[in-house]
Amino acid sequence: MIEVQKLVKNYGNHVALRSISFKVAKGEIVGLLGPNGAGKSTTMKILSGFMPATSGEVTVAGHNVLDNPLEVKRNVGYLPEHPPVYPELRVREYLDYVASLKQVPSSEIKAKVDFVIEKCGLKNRATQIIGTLSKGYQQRVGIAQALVHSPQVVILDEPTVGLDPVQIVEIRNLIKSLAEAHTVILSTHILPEVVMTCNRVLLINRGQILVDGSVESLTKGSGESLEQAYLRIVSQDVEVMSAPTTTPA
Amino acid sequence: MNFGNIFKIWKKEIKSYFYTPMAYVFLGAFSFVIGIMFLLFLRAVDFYQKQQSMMGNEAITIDRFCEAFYGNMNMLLLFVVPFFTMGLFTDELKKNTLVLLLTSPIRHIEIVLGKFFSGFSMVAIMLLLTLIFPVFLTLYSQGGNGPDLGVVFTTYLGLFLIGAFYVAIGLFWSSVSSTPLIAVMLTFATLFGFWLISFAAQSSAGTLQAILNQLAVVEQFNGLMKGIVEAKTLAFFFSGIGLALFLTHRSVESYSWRT
Repeated sequence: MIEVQKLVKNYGNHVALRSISFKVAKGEIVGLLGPNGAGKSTTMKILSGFMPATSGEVTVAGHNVLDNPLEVKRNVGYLPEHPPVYPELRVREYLDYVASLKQVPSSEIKAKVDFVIEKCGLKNRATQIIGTLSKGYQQRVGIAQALVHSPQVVILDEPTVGLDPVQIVEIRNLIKSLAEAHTVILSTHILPEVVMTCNRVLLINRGQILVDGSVESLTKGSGESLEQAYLRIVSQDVEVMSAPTTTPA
Repeated sequence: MNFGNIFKIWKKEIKSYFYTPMAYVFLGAFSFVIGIMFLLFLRAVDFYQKQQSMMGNEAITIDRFCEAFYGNMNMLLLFVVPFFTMGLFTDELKKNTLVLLLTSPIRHIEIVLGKFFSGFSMVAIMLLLTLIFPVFLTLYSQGGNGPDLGVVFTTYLGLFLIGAFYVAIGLFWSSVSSTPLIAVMLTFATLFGFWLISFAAQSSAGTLQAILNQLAVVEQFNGLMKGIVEAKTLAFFFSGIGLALFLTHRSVESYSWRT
């Protein structure tokens, strides 16, 4: 479903991604892990077709991101770090607009919007103005926006940020349920979240993939906790600008 | 290019204008100021008319009145249009919604044109409201000889062209600015520059004057206010609009690199 080959991204002199390659099969939920500035968001921006890569090949849903951006965008749902919502619109109005932008035929818009409103728990907020919603609900609207055109690939950049514990559980269950019909890539700083939602982990640091495998492969069955394993792997990666001294959140 | 996509963007922008105080404030302010201006101009004409007839001079014609009035309306557009265009792209940046547009299966040019037409629609509404003045002049002028309707038509053609030209420039500045305030200032400066060119033209001579006259919005509009539609005038406005939209398109394409 997703194929990334020798992906490089430079911001001026700064190298954000140094030749990363990976494949994601249909129905997988892949978690991108890594310290701040590791290249998680950059990878997601490139996969969503928002940003061009410096070099490398990216294929999403069978289409090359550079050659066929419109087809890629049609098949990708993307939640950026900040939910891209218009505060002056009402929830349903906004989702109708997004659905039409994503080229959902107008006869299907109502059904699809109803479906994501239901799925993201926005039913009793559908007529509320987005600007008056709490951060958590705005985040849900952002997730709903990424799902409204039922894309094959869903890319979620820190989907549970700003949510309360109950909402986090709900959203995790939502993400897990997505695997039936979608391929999901999500990034997070919350280690247990990976265990709970993802069936595969990509640990990225300084623009390189350090670990690509199941959650169990991180801890190598050594009895380490996930946190210990994470700290060990990241600090082993030499030249780390500053190894985290405190426990990551 | 997909006209459906342009329409979707246009509709959303028009909604946003009317969901926020923007539309009401600036449509209201413009209508109020232009109404007061009309009244003051009428009084001034009345005053001069009496003075002139006492001195046995020629009376001020209704066409002269319209030229002065609509010349000033052009000036007023210069102040109002930047406020309609300032948020077209800077708001998307502020709300982080530009990502949504740029990751949707729509072309950049469709985004640019949708936003251009929404800004232009606001200016068009503004201008259509002022049609009350020629109606008023036709109904109430002495002896029933109101303004020449042909001239009214070309004057409004000119105002619409000027409006579109200003919107295109404002749209471009909005696409390169990070905040609405910067966009407003840069748009003002540019539009004011086009205004000043006519003064520069007056004080220069020869080839330079000829070139400057072609670039001056005021000069182009003067022809239209006399009822003359020249190819060079249409060429000036359409190429200006085209250039500004082209630059906007380039700027939108570069967002992916800039953010």
